[in-house]
Amino acid sequence: LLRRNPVSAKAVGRVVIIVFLVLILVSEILLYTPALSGRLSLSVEMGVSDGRISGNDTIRSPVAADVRQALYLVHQFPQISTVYLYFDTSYPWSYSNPVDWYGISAHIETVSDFRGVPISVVVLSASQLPGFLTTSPAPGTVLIVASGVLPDTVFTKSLNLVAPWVKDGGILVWMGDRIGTYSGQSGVPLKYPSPLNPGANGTREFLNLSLLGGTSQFYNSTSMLASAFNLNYTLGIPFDDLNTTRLPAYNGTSIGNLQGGFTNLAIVPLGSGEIIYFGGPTEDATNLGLILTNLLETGLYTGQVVLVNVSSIALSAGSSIVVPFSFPLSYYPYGAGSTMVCSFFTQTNYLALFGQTNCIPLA
Amino acid sequence: MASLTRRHSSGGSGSLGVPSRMAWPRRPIRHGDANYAIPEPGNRTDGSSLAGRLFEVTSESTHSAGEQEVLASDEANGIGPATHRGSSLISSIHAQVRDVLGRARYLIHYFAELRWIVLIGILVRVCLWVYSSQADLSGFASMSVTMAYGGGPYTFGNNYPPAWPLLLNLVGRGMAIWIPPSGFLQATPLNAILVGRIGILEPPALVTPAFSVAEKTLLLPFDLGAGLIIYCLARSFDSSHLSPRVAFAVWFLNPLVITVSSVHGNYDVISTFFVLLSLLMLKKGDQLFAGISAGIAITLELYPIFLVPLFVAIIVRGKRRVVAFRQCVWFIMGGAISGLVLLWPPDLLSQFLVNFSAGPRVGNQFGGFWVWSITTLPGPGIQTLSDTLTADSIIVSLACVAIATVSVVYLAFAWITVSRFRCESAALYFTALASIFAIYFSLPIVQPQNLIWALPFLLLGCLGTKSLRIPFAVASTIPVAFYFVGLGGPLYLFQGLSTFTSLVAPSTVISSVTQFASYHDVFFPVLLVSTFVILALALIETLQLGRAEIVAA
Repeated sequence: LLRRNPVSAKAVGRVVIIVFLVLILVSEILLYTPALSGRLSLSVEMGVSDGRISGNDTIRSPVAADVRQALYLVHQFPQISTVYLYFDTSYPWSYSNPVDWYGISAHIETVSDFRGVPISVVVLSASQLPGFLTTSPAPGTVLIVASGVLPDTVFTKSLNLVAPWVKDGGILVWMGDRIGTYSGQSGVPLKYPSPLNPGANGTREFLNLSLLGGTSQFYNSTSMLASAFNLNYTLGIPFDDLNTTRLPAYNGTSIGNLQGGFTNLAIVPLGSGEIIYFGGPTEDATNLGLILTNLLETGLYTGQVVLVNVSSIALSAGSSIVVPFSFPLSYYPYGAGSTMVCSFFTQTNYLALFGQTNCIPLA
Repeated sequence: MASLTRRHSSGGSGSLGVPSRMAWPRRPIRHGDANYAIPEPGNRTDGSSLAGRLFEVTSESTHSAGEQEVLASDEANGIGPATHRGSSLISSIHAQVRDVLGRARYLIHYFAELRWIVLIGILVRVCLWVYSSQADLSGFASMSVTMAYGGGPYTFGNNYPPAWPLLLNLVGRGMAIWIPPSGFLQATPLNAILVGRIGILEPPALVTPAFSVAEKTLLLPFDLGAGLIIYCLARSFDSSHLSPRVAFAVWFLNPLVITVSSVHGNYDVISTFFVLLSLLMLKKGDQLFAGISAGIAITLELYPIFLVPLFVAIIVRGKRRVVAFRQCVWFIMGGAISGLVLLWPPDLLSQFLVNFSAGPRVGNQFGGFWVWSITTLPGPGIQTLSDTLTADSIIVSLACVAIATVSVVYLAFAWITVSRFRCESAALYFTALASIFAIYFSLPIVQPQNLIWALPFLLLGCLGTKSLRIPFAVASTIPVAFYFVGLGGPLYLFQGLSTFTSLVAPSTVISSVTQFASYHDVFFPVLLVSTFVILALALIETLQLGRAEIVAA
């Protein structure tokens, strides 16, 4: 090109355009060639014999990475391939915002696809919720309500379709403002106080009020389970977090971060079902999508998990290592026939999506 | 073999049509010759800029008889193109390298009169690179981190057209050689919680200075390149040699350009560069590469698709139908080539379209297509940012796009009509400017960095109209005024403070509040002034047309 005319604007323009396209091609090759992509690769060989779980992890990472392995026992759980998200911007929200509220759906799908265990998210509007909640839930049916406000189509002072659905075996994931406090009307901004709000009586239909408290907006101390399953959710809402000392009395399990005797994430059983309660605002959909995928993929959402070991490994760029492990299994909480031994590997770097769960039956 | 020829020599000419007292080129240029005859600025005899004259070269081979003799002699002696016939690979590569270096040296001399402006502009930018940061930059860093850890361009959930994530991937993978990708960002939990309190899309993390520098370094060549194209285009107006340099300075030292690229790290300048390059290639008669350049611009930010009617008008104006059709086909083929490269693999486009159309308030700043409104009907829409700026109705949204489309098509036709008579270039740039303002009309939110799109055409349009040359510098500050009034740009420097200190809260609050204000305030001034600007441009064009008709009569 230059040969024809060494200094013409046309020739220089052509060179610039070609160089740009070549750079784009290089970027695409880096992204889509498995050997060149920055994705961590992992193979886990695991077996149970003589009351011990033992095996080898083979890990290779093209870039510097921090990984964590959780070995745990879990009650047999249904693999979840579909979750439901209530989303309707014609109804109000509190301690939430539409971008993150809706964004959770995209992030769950993206992260689970990336890991090869796809979970699809079905979005339900306020008008679709009554039909959904009046149908008996199949085991492992998950409804995410990230608005902090329930719509008046399913929840008012005199109507509650949500709690019976949970008691019937449904799994409710709650985020945003305190559960049961508000009943939102279409097109009407949220007000407090208001005679339309169920308030504390509404909350009592889901949780014992004595569980709620805390004064902090930040939860930076990571619990063992939160660390093992990479549930690093640091935000809280004052007076809306859960008391860690009282949770066991209600068969609850703290799985989130801790601050002053309270946790910002816990699993609280209700009838045959349970509420996975985020005591914090719906912010940072990227992180929330990752946390929810970890919960659903590993079976932690059942609340029936016993940790065996947690280990962390730091890999330098381009390194490949084999990590042997062997740990005794002396405790079979759910009966040998219905207990699984699982390994959950996760990359803990901020915004890294890698995660892999491998499970084998204990028997 | 190539030669240089001046199209419009103003002095006496030698065998190459060059003033005899000018020192270039002393001898024919050969392949493998790194010592092109570079003219010395001191040799100018007419007080004009030599650099500007050097640009006016053509691709036609117009060798004189003397040149032909030298060429024949060179080839006979195995010099120049003949070296390809019998020399070794190494010497051939060596010759090629010398050749490229020679041409680069030639170009540097061509732009020599801009060196101090370039130096000052780069120094200012480098100082700002390290310190400053803002919300979009954190999003860019997050995309880079995700891709560096093996994710795809849309894994992070962004809705930018594909070319930008692909460029960021290069930044991220390049940085990952020295810095772990997690080191591109530093967490600021308070930022995240402020999102809920104030309703602003603040990032949960800020970028580290290393990423800030790397990302903004990527933007510098496009800042500079766009300025050089403005300089080149401005040279075609007349023999005044001050104005092109001033036009370059007004662009490259413009606070709007510096802030958008070097403080915010927004990439509007890249799409602007490729729009200008497409225009330049069209003016040089290269429809294929003009199409490729336009395609690149569209895959960076969607708005240039609204300039396609104007590009087509440039191609077809004054040509026979067969020729015009053939050249349009070349232009479209160019666009298709860039589409094939930039939208590969096929699921990249589908991922983009899903993110573009499926998220709340997405896609509203790239061209007015606001598909999200389909799913929000018939509710009151999203409350967090602004109820007044947004069109939560598919009818309003499509009407905006329709108005913009009709406007740009009308403007393209109007330009063909006007340019039959006079003031071709100025009318072209004003038409492009008016088209940009028509695009602003269709956007639910006009963000301050989008004003970069209009600035080059405002500069060139004013420069090409004698009556507007004096106030052109004033006119060029209109976008800058919008920026500072609407956004409070300098306050973003407080976010840089967050990067280096623990003063996250006050800085974030300040930037959040100003950003919040900007979303409300910027649109209406832009709407108001753009109305007047479009009316004024229409008046100017009409007056020019009337004068031309009088002259013709």
